[in-house]
Amino acid sequence: MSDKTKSLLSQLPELKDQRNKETIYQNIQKKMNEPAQSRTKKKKKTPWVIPTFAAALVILLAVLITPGLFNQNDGPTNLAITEESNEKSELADHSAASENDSQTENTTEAPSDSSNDLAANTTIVKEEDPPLPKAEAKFEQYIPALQQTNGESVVLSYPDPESLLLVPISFKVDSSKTMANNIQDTLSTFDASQYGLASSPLVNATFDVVTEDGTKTLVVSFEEPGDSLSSNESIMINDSVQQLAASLNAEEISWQTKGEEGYNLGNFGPADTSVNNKPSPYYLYETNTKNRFLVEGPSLQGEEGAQLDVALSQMKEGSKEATWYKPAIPSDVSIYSFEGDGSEATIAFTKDSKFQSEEEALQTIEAIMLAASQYNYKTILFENTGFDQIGNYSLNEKLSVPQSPNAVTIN
Amino acid sequence: MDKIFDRLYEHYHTNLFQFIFYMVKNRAVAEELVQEVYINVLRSYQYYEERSNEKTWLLAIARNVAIDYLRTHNRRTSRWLSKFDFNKQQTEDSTPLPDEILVQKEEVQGVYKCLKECTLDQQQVLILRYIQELSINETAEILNWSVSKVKTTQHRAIKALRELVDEQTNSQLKGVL
Repeated sequence: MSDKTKSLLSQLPELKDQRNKETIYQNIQKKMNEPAQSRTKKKKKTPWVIPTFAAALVILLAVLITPGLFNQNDGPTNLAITEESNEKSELADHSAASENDSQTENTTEAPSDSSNDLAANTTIVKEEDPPLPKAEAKFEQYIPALQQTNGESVVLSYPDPESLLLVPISFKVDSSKTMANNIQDTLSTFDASQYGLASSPLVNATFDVVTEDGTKTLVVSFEEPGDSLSSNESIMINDSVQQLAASLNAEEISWQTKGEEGYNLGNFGPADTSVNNKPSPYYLYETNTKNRFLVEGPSLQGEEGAQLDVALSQMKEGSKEATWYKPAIPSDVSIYSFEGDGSEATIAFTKDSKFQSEEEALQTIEAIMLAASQYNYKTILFENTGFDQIGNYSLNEKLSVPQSPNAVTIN
Repeated sequence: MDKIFDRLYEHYHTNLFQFIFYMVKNRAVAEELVQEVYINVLRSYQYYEERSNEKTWLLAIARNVAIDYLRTHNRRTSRWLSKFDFNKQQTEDSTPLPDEILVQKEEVQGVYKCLKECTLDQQQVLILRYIQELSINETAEILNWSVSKVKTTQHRAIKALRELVDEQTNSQLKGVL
């Protein structure tokens, strides 16, 4: 049978380009002679026109119709993300309950997927900040996140061997060195191949972090112009710099070529100096060394980016098209409800949710917390995990969101 | 006309176009992408090291360009699909089969359709090994993989493709019965 399949494959016809050599050459010449600026305008600006107008329209409508939408973090939203239906059900409005300043905490009784019962009210007790986990847990495959208690960190990104995605890796900062030296030293000493990753696209760049007039700027300088970069190389460099700038809380990026202002990202043209703070769903990526990392999927734009439940739905479903993004919420686990109150959130899993291992539970709750942190949630209380303790997280209390994903220590 | 372009076109154009076409399965897109390959090649030809095989170097660039496209295209598709509740049937690819495939026997058409259902890794290996008829070493060089990874992926790809073809045949039979 295998031989027959191979034989059928080899019978697939030779497909020929129907254009002649001259036509192709003219097209190439035309494209090559296009000034970089005009190409940039086409590529960079056009895709933003419709989303910008759409976003403005949505905001206008929201202001006119429901001003309450802007207080979404203050009102609880329940949703069920189930494998079968992927439907998000907006459940009862608990605004009255949340206004009640009760000092008791009622645990959400999450029914099984088949139940139609609504979640019981959850009133979150205003307490002091929860204890933070002290040290990273050790697991076989999953690389746990870096905690807030671990001090300052920097996130450097490493592509998978096929450059389909970037894996953000968090490194603790040595406070005796400048940030620029920390970045440079990490790039030169960290061997990404031991985790099945390719080397950083920023390995030949130099860095500086400057604060002027209260604006923190990440300065990235390249020795060679980026005009001949492929679009994939351009994306990898841009996304790596963006993730690094976001991890440093920089507000601007100064792209330089040989110390001179400006850097072209291949056909995309001049690199964007603003820092992308749009939220992204977190997915799971497993390397060929069997290490599992949390990776950010494509940023959520406009309306869909405004809601954490959209990000959670995508994290549950994974990406059918970009199959390298695996779901960060396993198939046997469903979220029954999500309630946000300011910087605090409560996430209840359905009662029949089942994690296969403590490691799977850890990667799931860290992925959810990291996604939630992009929506300014600082603490999360998880219910119905089936665990009292996962790694250094005590599941009976509110957990502080981690600082950044995939903490690695260089020996 | 640029001498480098002229030579590369004469020697490799059919291979490049064919490889890209079978990766993206769309003639218009393949025409655009093959031009992008030449642009990248002409811009970076000075860095080409003669110790490596020119054909595998070009196909490696073509592969990156095709993956760039699929990656961007998939992102866009996924973003749009997430906005609407399309069901599975609606998302099925309705691109008509190219004329060259339509004149082939049904079994060959079936293999072409099922090739789309394989993973990207599997598709690349199948196209390079059985349509482009490259060696395992050349395939490994283009994909920047180890030889053993090519062998393993090839084995899995053939198995997956065979199962998809069987599945398709069975569902057609059910339709007849």
